[in-house]
Formats: sequence, structure tokens, C-alpha cells
Amino acid sequence: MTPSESKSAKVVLNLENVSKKFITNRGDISILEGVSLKVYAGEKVAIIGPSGSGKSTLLSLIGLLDTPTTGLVEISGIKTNNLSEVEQASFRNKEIGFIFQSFELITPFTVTENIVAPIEIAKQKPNQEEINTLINRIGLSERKEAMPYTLSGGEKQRVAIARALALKPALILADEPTGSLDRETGEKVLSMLLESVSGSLTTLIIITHDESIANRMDRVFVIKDRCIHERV
Amino acid sequence: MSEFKLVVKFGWRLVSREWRRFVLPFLSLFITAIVVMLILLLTNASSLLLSNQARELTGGDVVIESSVPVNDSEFWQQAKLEPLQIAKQLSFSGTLQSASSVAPFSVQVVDQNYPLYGKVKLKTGKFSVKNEADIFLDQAGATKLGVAKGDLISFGNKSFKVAGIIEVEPTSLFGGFRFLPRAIMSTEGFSASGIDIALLRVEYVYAAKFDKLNKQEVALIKATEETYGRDIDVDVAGVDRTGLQRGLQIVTDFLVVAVLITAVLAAVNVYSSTLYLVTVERKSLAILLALGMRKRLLTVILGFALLCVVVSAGLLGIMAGSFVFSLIDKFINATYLISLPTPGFVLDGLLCLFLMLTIAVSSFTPAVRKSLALNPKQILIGGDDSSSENLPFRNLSIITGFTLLPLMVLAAFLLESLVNGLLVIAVIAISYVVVASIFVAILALFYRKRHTFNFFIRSIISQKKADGLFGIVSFTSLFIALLALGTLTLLQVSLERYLTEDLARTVPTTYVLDIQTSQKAAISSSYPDLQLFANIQARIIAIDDLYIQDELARDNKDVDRELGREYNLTSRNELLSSEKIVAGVWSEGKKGEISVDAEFADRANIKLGSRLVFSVQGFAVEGTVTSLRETDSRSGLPFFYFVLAPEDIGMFPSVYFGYSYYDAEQQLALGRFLANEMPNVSLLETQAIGLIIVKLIGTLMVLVYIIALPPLLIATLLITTLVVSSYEARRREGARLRAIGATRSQVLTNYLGETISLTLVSAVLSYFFSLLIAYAISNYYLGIKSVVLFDADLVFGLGLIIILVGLVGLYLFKTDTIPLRELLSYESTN
Repeated sequence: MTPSESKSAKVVLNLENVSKKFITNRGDISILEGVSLKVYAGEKVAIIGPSGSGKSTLLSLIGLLDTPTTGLVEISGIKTNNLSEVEQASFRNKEIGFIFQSFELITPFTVTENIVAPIEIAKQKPNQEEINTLINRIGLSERKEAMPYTLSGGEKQRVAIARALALKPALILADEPTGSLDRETGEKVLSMLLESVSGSLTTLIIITHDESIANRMDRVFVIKDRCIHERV
Repeated sequence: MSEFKLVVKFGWRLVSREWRRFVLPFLSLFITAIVVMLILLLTNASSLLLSNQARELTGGDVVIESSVPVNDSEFWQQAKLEPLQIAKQLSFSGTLQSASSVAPFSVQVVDQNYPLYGKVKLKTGKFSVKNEADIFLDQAGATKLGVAKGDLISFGNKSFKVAGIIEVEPTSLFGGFRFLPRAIMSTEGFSASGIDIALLRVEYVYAAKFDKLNKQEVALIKATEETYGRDIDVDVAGVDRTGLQRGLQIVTDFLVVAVLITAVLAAVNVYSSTLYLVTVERKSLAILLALGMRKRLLTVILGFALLCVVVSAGLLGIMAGSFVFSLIDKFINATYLISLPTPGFVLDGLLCLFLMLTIAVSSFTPAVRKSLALNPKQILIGGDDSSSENLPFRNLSIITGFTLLPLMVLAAFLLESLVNGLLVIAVIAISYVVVASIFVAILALFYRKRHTFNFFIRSIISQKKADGLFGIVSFTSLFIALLALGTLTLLQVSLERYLTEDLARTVPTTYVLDIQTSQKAAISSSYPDLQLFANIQARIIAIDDLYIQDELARDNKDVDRELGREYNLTSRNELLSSEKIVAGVWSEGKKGEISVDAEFADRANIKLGSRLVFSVQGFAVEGTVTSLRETDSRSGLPFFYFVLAPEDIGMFPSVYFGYSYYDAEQQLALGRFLANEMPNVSLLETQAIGLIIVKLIGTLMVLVYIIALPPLLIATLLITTLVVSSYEARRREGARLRAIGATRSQVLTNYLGETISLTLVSAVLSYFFSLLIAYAISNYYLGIKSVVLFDADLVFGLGLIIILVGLVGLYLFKTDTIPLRELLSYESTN
């Protein structure tokens, strides 16, 4: 039974009638219209759709990197629309973990420093034992003092995953996490990601073009013509 | 499309579409071009002035100077030359008196041939010394005496009419600093004054005019000077440069060094800007490579874009520099009535443009090589990128070498000496490398200890480390510019304080010069407060068994040539309050005992117990050194290398020097007494001299500031380049930090902290090192003990630079409206 099938499962993400328009010189461009969606704790969800359909825009709205034109974004029971910039940052820090296609590691930081960064921004003291376990899990215990530019793509993405997991967030948002990797490396990284969140209450939302990845998720949503539908 | 068309099309597209990225290197090159053009024109014009007017500035084609009368006909006979014309002059200090005031003057007695070259310009009327009752004063003298043209003044027994106020003399600008006002009278007028020439300290000048002197004749004159029996100094126009002529040459050399420092800074700036441009555009450029363009062609396209910037900045800078020169020319003409010769604008312009291109090429090549070192795959897809981290010292050496090599050639050309050129550039390069090494070492230390700092300070340290070479060069340039400014300012303030406060507290207000033995009793009885010191000139014959003059004649290199000159001896029984015995015992004026200045003794290898033999007016005087003294130079009290017993030298006729602490009223009374009774004696009021020196230093400092300003401006531009380029890099890092929970204000604080910390550390360190350097120069070179440790203006200036850097960063951050979502788009290269 998936979390969505369980009536007692907690709703982690609730989108109600969310729309997003961009204002340009040539008039307004509507990307998303009336998007409603509920995702539960511990669920693994894929969002798929053709290029330019608004997948990444939706992920930005969920990740509080952008604000919706209309509609409600509720995460862990908190209505995020009215949060101030500082509250949004703190919320992102504690409740959301990001994994980007382009890794987005902090260039002058070592592997360990990148992983510990969210903990330090939260002004918490890192638990060295937990960090070491995390680094061992991603298989970089020999390279924990390495700089990002010395890592391969797969290693960079593993660091990004560890960084996303460091504060045990309620929600992990992964935007094409294997898009910059070859198939074999991508498979390893994805397995590691799924393994990391399985059995926990951490929710994973993944954006992908890859049907094989989408098929490994609990539920799949398709964005088409600015609207979202669950694929049954 | 031909390759040429492709280069022009792509290059122009780059400049026109990305012009904002070229603004800072453009400004940097523009300022450099102004400075270089201005300095080239000034040095060129001053050289022309010196060569065109050498005869005027020297006073004749050949000028013989001596402290004793010289039979000049005999000299010319020995030199086998016959001058076309000769003008004889006497110069001395004397006191003139008007109905309302008295003042010491530097008096020049001239014959009717004076001046041989050039003209004496008066405010009104024409200069002529045909009338023996005429006297000419400069404006300072006329003001001091409270007289105007037509008024009467007296010197000795004679009354003179002020026949004109001198505006310009041929040698006025380059004749050396004169603290006393000027007066010119005729030979006949001087004779009529009844002053005994033996009472005066006179300099005899014999200026000669020749049709043309060839090299052999100049050599002959020099040889005659060497073999002529008496102490004479012979200057040949265009060959010997004295006084301010030599000073001007030193200033010219300093200006050239300033050009080179500016050029090095500009080169570093262009390097940084090019590196930044190529790094930012690297992905687009890599696509061109991926599309099949060769790296060489890509480099040419980038080079063309830079050429557009260099040529436009160079041409505009040359025009602006020429304009500034014309303003300075007008100012000099209006102030000093000297018209600077027209320098070669075209040649200097071309030279300036060549320098600009040299700077651009020398800095562009390594920057492009460095940025395009990766292959397209590495740039587009990622991979090993060693550009930012590895081997900073090797990179620094290569870039320094590339940048400095053409500048060395230029330095050698400008300084007219390969050795000097190499030396100057080597000093600049070594300074850079030393400061850069210290910066790298300190940064490495902080980086190792970064875990002890909080997250945001740690991220600043890590960013600085990641900046690599770019950060090192920027820091070093700013540090050196601030260091120069700090040192100069602290020295100026220390000197000013020394002259206006320290000296004013201890220095006597009144000095009296050239009192003859026959006048001593009269002045002592009228003015008993006046402390008088005998001053007898003598040469050192022997120090122990070393016969100095013989050794010098034998050209013994171990004997300091300074020991060959005449020294002033004095005799007294008491030690002055400004003196301290550091070795031996003060003799209290016992016969045969000598006290020597400790510093001089060290230099001349004189020790306690050494036997010294002097030649005093043809007689040998000898004694043993029984004490070594130190003198506080701030006291302003008389300073002598040698003090002997009155019994040993008291019998020789001597000139006396006196001092006292009189107020203005007493000074006026003393002045009147001297003008009436002893017009050969000069009275100096030290308050006036202090003010003149402060004014003089102030003027020199303006020049120094003007020279120091362009390097500082360019260094600030360099920092702005760093801030702008670091912002481009940091905005992505900032977005990453925000994605994992940092607030916008935390990112702003982090970014401002990083940019300001660089300037702040540089300012604080440069202030600290300025203090050390200023202390060393003041203490060991200028002899000023009290160095100013704090100068509000300097701190304010440094603060302004820090604020400017902060404001640039704040402006960039606040005007950046790109949403976080877009900052985290898929264009990252790591």
C-alpha cells in the first residue's frame, strides 16, 4: 500500500488552483493553470511532460524559488504564500532538499563542507558521526576533502543528494537528477536516491523525461496544456 | 566569408553587444593614456627647455664660480680659449634698510654685461645698471622693506633708489632655492656703499660667452678646472646641471617610474578584465570551437575586440593628455613667465599608443591562453578544470614575465639606460611577488584554520581561496597603490609637524651670519644674549698615519672623497644643551683635545685617541680625539663635526655665527643695528624659513599626489573589476546558498563581507606597512625622530575607498532582479 492509499497518511504537499503567468514585452505567457495536487509523506512522485510544459516552473513553485500568480502552495500544513522572504528561506532550509540536474555544488567548498552547509545555515551543530555515515553511504569517504571541480558528474550528484538529505527534510525535489549523467551512472545515482528515501517519511518529487524512472515511482503526474493529471 | 571579414564581424559583434564588460578596461586604459601622454609631453618639453636654454639657465656658456677672487684671464689662457664676452658678478648676503624696515637680502653685484643670455624682466621699465644709484629688488624684498619703485633704501653708507621690481631673472627658476629676497646693484654702486669686501662671504662668478664650444674645448675647460690652482667650480652650459636643473632631472626620472607603475597596473587591469571576459564568455566561445573554429582564429577575434577598446581609449586619452598639458603650459607661463617649448605631439602620441598596445598585448596573451587552455568538451560538458587552483606561483611568474617583458624594453627606452630600466621593473615585479606571496601565505593559513570560523566567514575565506590568481593580483595591486599613498601622506604630515611644531619649539628665532672678528666685540656688547660661535674653515691633513689629501690625490678608493672638502671648526669650553657625549670625556677646552661628531667619526674611521691634523689657513693644527658627541638635530643649535680648544685655533681670524631667542620687536631692533653698523651681517628669522619650507613641501606634495593618483585610481578600478566579476561568479553561488536556505540578506552580507574584507585588509595592512616605511625613512634618512602615527585625512581617504567598493557591490546586488529560479537554470559548468 502506497502512502496515498492509506487514509491516515499525512499530506506533505497540497497545491490548490495554482497558476503561473510570465509578463513579457509581447504580453503575458501562461505556463500553468489551475494546478491542484496532493502528495503524502513518504511518497515518491514523478512529474513528466514534454519540454516547455512547465515542469521546472512547477518545481520552482513547490520549492519556494518562485511565487505563483494565483493559488495556494501548502507544505507540511504551512500555507507558504504569505511567508516573508526570510521565513521562506528558513522553510526551504528545514523542509525542502533540492537536487538539480546541474548539481549546483558550492564551488569553493569541499565535499564535506557542501553537505554540511544546510546544517550550518540552520545554525545547528553538525553531528560528525551522522555526516560520516552519510558520506559513507554515497561512497565518497575517501574524497570528503575534495573540491567539486575534481569530482566526476556522478560523484557531484551524489554529493548533491547527500546535501539534500543532510537536514532530513520533509520534501526532496529532484529536477532531472540524472539528466547530465550517462545511463549507467544515472542508474546508480537514482538507486541511491530511492534507497535513501525509502522507508522514511521523506517525500520525493522527481521531474524527469525518462519513462523508466517515472515507472519506479509510487505515482506519476503528467503536465500537458498547462494542466496536471495523474496517470493511472 | 573571408577570414578577415569573419574576424571583423565577430569581433565587432562582441564589442557592440558586450560593451558593458569592456567599460572597466576602457577606463583603465584611458587613464593610463592620459598619464602617459602628459608625462611624455612634460618630460619632452622640460628636456627641450633645458637644452634650448641651457646657456640662459647656467648664466653663460661657461661659468667659473669661486669663494675667492680668480684671475679669469689666466684661466682662459691656460684653457687656450678666448671668450667673446665676460660678465663678472659678486653674490653675498647683506642687510638692506628702508625708512620703515630692515631685511636680509641675497645681493648680486653685476657689471653692464649682465646678463650674457636671457633678460631680466621688470614689472615696469627696462633693466639697466648704468646708474650706480639704482637698485633692483624682487617682489618679496620690496614687500619686506615696505617699498615700491622709486623709493629710497640704504646699504652701508649709500642710499639707493629702487629702479624696478624684478619679475624674472634668467636663472630664477633653476638657480636653486633661495630663502632670502633678491637685490641687484651695479659694481659701481657697491663700491660707493663703502662696504669692506673682506667682511663679506662672497661668491665670485665669471660668466663667459663663446661662439660655439666643441667637445675638445669642453674637455680642455674641464682639464683646466682640475689643474687650476685655486678652488673653483666650472659649469659648462648643457653639460653640468646644478640646482633645480638636476632636481628637474630627478623629477623627470620619478615621472617615468610613475608611468611604469601606472602601466603595470593598467596591464594587470586589462589582464583581469580580459580573463573575466573570456571566462564569462567561455561557453559561447567553446561553442564556436565546437562548430569548427580554430583557437587561433578565436584568439584573433578576441584580440580584434580588445584592439577596438585599446585604440579608442588610447586616442581619447592622448587627446585628453594633450589638453591637460596645454593647461599646465598656460599655468607655468602665467605663474613663472616661462614658455615651455612645444614637444613632439605626434611622436609622443604614437609612443603613447604603442605603449597602450604593448600593455594590452602583454596582458591579453596570457589571459586568453589561460582561458582557452581547456578543450571544448571540458568547457561545455565539464571535466578537469585546473584553471582556478593549481600552481598559482607558476602562473603568477608566467603572467608577470609576459606582462613585464615589453615594459622592461619601454623602461630602458624612457630611462635611457638598460640597467636602470631593468632595475625599476625588477623592483616593481619583486614588490608584486613579495606582497602576493605574503597574501597567498596568509590566505593559506586562514584556509587551513577555516573550521574555527563560523559558516559565513568560512565561505568568504573559501571564496578568496577559489579566486586564485585573479584575487592575488587584485589584492597586490591595491595594496601597493595604497601603500604608496599611505607612505607619502605620513611622510608629508611628519615633515610638516616637524617643521611647524617640533622645530618651532626648540629652534632659536634668530640667526646672525657672517660676523667678522673685528665686529665681534661690538655686537657682543650691544647684544649680550647672542650666543656666538667661531667658524674656521680647515682641511683634514691626516687621521692617525693616513695622509688624507695625499691618498685622495693618489685616487685611493678606500678613502672617502668627502674627506677632501673643507670643514668648519669651532672652539668652545662648554657642551651645548643639544649635545651628548657618547664616548670619552668632554675636554672643557683643554689644549690639544678634540671632540668629534660620533656619526662622522664612524664614517671617517676616527676613534677615541685618534690623532687629527688640520690645515688652517696654511698652518698645521693637531690634536687627539678625547670625546665623541651626538647632536639632537631638532634643536636647531649650531652643529659642528669638530670642536677644538680656543687655545688651539683662537688665534686664527674667523667668521662668527650667532643665535638667540628674540621676539619680533627685538629682531627688528637687531636688524636696524646691523643695517646701520654692519650691513655685511645677515639676520635670519627662522619663523619665515619654516613657512617657506612648509609651502615648498606642500607644492611638492601636490605633484606627488598628482603622480600617485592615477595608479591609485587604476587600482581602485581593478578592485571594481574584481567586485563586478566576483559578483558574476558569486550570484550563482548565492543562488545555491539561497536554495539550501540562506536568506537574501545573508547572501548580501556574505558578498559585501567578501568584497569589503579584501579592501579593508589591504587598507589596514598598507597603513601598517606605511607606518613602518615612513618610520624608517623619517628616522634613518630624514633624521626626524617623531613620526606621525595617525593621520585623519589618510584614514578618511582609505575609508572612502572601502565605502566605494561596498557601494559598487551593493549597487550590483540591489539592481540584480533576476529571479532565483532563473539563477539556478541549467547553464552551470561545474
